[in-house]
Amino acid sequence: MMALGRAFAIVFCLIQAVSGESGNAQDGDLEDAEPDDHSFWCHSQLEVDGSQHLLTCAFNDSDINTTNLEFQICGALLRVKCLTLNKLQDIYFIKTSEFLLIGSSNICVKLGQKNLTCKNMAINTIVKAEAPSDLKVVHRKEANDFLVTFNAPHLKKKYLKKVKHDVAYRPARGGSNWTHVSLFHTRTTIPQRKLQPKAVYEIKVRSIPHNDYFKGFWSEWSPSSTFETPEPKNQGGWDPVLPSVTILSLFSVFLLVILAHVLWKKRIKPVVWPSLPDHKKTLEQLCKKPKTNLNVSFNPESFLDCQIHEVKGIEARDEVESFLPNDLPPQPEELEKQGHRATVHSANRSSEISVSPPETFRRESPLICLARNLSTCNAPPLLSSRSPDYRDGDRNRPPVYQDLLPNSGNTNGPVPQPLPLQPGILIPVSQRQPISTSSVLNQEEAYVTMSSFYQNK
Amino acid sequence: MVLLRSLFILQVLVRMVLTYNFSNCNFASITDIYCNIIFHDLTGDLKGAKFAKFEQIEDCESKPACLLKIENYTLNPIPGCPSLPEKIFAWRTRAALIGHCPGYPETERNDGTQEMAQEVQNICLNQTSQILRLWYSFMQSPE
Repeated sequence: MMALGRAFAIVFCLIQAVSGESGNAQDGDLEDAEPDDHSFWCHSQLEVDGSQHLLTCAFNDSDINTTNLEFQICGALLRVKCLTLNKLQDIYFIKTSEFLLIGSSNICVKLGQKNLTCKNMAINTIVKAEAPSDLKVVHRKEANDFLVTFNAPHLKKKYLKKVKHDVAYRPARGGSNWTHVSLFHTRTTIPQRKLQPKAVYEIKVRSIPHNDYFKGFWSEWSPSSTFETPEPKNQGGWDPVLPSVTILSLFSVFLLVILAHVLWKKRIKPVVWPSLPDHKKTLEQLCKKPKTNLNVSFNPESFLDCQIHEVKGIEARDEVESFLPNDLPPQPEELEKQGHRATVHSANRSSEISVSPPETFRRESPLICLARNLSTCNAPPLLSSRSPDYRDGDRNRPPVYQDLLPNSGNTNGPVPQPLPLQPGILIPVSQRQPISTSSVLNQEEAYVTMSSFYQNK
Repeated sequence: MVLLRSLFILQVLVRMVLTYNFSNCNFASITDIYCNIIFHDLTGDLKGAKFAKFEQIEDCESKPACLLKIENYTLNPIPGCPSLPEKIFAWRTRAALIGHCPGYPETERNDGTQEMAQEVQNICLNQTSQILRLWYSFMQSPE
């Protein structure tokens, strides 16, 4: 009996030991139970509320029974030794400004007073960035791209300012893979050529600490935005604006060239390159055209048709002697003694030249030459004393007005023999009619005067 | 008992005479802590007051010398500013020295005397600006 009882006891124990489920512990008997996986994770968020930071912890196994379990952080705190995290369902957290942010802290899972599991963590190395917000996408037609902008809350924080962003986009339909773009600023562009035409895209953004001292994890994704790409342009088509402008510009240039060619000689060249004035033409323009039938000539032959009459009978010799061989015009008193008067009438009264005797210098108007271009009109004819044919006392011969001769002092050409002049009479050279001595003298005088004048001219 | 008492007195005397040598500190780590944390605390404490408003008299020539002065100015109360060692930047300075200066003792905080009890804001601000000036010298000084 005794042996049988012992056998049954041994078998019973063996059955109990073998048939029991693994980890099946009795109440209160935790030593035989397989320990629960109390592994956990934690992350911190800096300055979530002013100067207060947030520490969040949770178990890796979501099915774990968290009853009576709590988290505690000790060390690397400002004015306290340990802090206990608050529990919200399966998440443990604490919001405080007591984090030293220097050195490591010890975070333990506690069941009562017993530490189930602990981890050494530095708060500054488990920082989780805050998610960006206000994600916007704008289509820029001129640049053919999409401008993406968003707000990063870390820009306003004190400790962690530098973070890296990750923009992800994909077509809303089809479930294709996300396209990622990394950037450090809060704006970027997506070229239109990289996108499908006329399609709706979904886009989102997140951040991660990018700092030598603060390290950690990606933030949550921002709320997604959508944008639509425009319809594709026709193949071979083009923007109608640019070709139109080009064609109009070319046409305008062509028109300008033609106008310039047509108007070059008449309008443009005289303004751009004025011609030098032609003296001859300018002179003709300045001078008035003589009237028709106006015979202004001192050629004796042109006076063949003129009727010249003697005004008075004047002794030519006395008249000649009265003229002194000097440059000064004879004084009116001296001329008055002569009592001579000579008047030359031309066929054309418009160019009348009168050679008045001394007597007439006072009575009559002085020598008047109405022709404009007569520079020697102001001086009356003078008798030259250098005439080789004139000798004192030789009064038989008519006086020769050498000064009035064109070749006075200059024997380049043959000197025509002066004809005796008669005051008041102008005799053409071609007409050598016998006349009286006084009349001949007067004629010669007039002829010499006019011819010399003509030569001087 | 007599022996223990003697040893205690001797320890206090030694502590008073001997000062810590900051030559063995990890200056790179201390620099990182200052740039990312202590600097923001100091400037936040000055609350936008103009830095040039205060007289900056103290200066230092080397990093160990600068740390010695920084420790002296930061962790010791002064008349008119007894709360200085309790400020956040003071705690963090101490933590930086403890964590990156081998053998640095975690000295007990000196309680201010009754004369130091009254807080004067300008004195605290002046002291804070002095500490900031010492940190600038620390950053520019050779090791």
